[in-house]
Amino acid sequence: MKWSIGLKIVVGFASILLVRLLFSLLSFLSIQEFDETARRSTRSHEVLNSLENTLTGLLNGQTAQRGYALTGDDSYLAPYEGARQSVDSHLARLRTLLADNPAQLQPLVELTPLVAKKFKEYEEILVARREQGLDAAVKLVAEGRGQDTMNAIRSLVDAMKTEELARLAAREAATTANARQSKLMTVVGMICSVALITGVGVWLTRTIARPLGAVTAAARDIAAGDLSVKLPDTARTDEVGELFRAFSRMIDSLNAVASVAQRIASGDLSAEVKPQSAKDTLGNAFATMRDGLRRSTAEMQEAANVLASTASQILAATSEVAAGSTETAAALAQTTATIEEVKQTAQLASQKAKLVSENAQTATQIAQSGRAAVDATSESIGRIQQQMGSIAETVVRLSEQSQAIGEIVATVADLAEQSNLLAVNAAIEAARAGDQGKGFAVVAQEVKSLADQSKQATAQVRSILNDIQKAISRSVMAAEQGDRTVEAGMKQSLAANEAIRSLAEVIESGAQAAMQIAASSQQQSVGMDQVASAMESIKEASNQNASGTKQTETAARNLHAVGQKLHALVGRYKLAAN
Amino acid sequence: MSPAGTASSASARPAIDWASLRARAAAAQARLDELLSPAGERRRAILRERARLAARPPAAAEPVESRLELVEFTLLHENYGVEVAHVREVARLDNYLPLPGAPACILGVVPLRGRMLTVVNLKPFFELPDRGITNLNKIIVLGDGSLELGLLADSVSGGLRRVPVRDIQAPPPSFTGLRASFSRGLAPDALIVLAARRLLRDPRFDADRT
Repeated sequence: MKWSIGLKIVVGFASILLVRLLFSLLSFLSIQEFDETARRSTRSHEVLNSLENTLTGLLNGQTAQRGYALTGDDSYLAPYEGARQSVDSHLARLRTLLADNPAQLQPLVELTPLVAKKFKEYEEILVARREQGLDAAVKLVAEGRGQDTMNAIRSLVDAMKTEELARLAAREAATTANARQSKLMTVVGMICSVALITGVGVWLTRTIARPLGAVTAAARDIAAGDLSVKLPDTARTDEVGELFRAFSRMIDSLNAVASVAQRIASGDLSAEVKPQSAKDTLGNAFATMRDGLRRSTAEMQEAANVLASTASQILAATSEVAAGSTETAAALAQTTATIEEVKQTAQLASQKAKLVSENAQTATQIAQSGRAAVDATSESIGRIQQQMGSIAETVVRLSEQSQAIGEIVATVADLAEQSNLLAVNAAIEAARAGDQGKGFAVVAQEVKSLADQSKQATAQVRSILNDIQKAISRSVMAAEQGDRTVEAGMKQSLAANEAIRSLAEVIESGAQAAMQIAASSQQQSVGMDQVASAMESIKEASNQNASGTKQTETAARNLHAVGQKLHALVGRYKLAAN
Repeated sequence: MSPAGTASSASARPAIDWASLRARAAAAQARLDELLSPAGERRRAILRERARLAARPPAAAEPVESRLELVEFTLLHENYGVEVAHVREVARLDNYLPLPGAPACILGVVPLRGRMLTVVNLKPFFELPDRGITNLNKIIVLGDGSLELGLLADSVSGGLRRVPVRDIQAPPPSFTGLRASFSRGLAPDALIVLAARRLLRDPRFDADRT
């Protein structure tokens, strides 16, 4: 079938229209015939009526003429004139009605002069009556001359009536036949139309409605979201074929979009979306959605990273704060304990300060006796100084005496030296004397030995003298140092005297300071009580702070977990193909 | 400074034991008295010791030819010896007269027993530093009957030294110059034996002939 659907529909409806036109034309012709027949029948009835009225007008005119004739009353002249006009109008009417009917026109032409003749007769009688009186008029009527005219008119009218009635009957017979024919044609036309419409309907249904139904079912499935529907391949080239192929392409396109949507739904944002055309709203929307999702996902990943890292930092910071709170609590506890200790210390200090004040009295008295003792010491040191002087003088005299010993020792040493030389010369002489000198050599040897011993002894004495001299020098120096020490001792005892005096003053001021310390310690104790209550408040605040920090830590931990989760969730999205 | 403090410091320092010091001084005085006037016992002990030493028999006589008798003297730290046969006597260096215009080795002349003796200083010859002259220096007077010469010595030992001739070795090669020419040999204990005859006959030391 190479016909398009439009051509098929045009052909189908054109055939139906032709059939309907044919039968409508027939019905129109039939109805026109009916109409013509009815119009002719009406004219026939009018002709008959006019003929009758013409006769009636003649009779009315006769009646009015006779009344005038009898009475001479002019009141009868008005109806007479009405009858005469009525007859004239009816005759004119008949002429128009029968203008197309020559068969009837002939008698009418004959009738008209007769009617005119008749009314002329009536005129004669009327004139007679008016001019000659009643007798003349009766005489004219009695002559009976108008009878013949009247009869001729009557026969003519009757003939025309008969003719018209015959025509009427023939027309009725034709109308009856025509009506039967029309009925038959209507039934046949109906049957033909039903058959043709049914055939065309079935044909169109088969070629259009069924494939459309299949497409509709597919569209309904697609509308219900089922993209697995398959339309059979068709070789048709008409609109249905096009529709099938377009639908198949649409399903394919939708399947492609659906698969992309599935990949995107499974987190693969690397899927490429190719819009079918510039007007591909869904494709463009998908591409835009994918780009938007990629951007959003990238931003979300970044945000998740930031969130995760920030949550980590918050968690770390909160942990530090928590640790700090714990340390603060510990420090507070220590501070409280320290304050208690300070309080006790202050009380102790108050007691001690009183004790110090009492002791200071005793110390002042001791300082008095100390000054007396130092004065006595000074006198003793002065005597020591004198004794040191005499010791030094004695030692120096000793030194002078040992110098004299040294001179003696030098003399002895010189003697020993000379003895030694003598021994050498003696030995030389003995050697020169030979054997006689041997005994002398022994003596010389002995002399030499004595000289050596003398020399050694003098050396020892010298060494001892040296030691003595050194010891004497040390003694003099020691005595000098002792003198200086004694001098220093003198100064120190003066200083000690002064020191003891200022010590007594210091002790006095110390006693006063101790009294002040006692008072201050009392105040300090009171102040410490206030500090202790303040520390209690700080402790409560710190506890609240610690619990708040714990909640913050829990929140930060949750936030951190959410950040991790979000990171994992966002990480499931693949942004690029690799 | 309280009185109690002074007492405690005095007790802390060791007190001077005056009694012990006095005892020690008395003992020293007694020992000195004893030493200055030796008792009879001590004096007899000393004399007995000397008699014992003198009664000791002389050492076994060795052949005269096989040994040299040397007078020992020192120049700084070095020991020198001269054969006793060439030594007339040993004298102290007193009143020496420097000779104007004489060489450095001629110290001067000394009057000795009515004669003038030329004194030679060997230190410049032997390249030894000169430490100056004191009255502790000695003169060893050499002589062979006709000629006399005084050698300056820092010290002289009292006795004679006897050295076997075989123990005297030839001068070592390290001896050079005048030290080699005036040395006769080297005895044990680094004793340099001088050749007295060569010293006497050396024209440089003849004050009369110069």
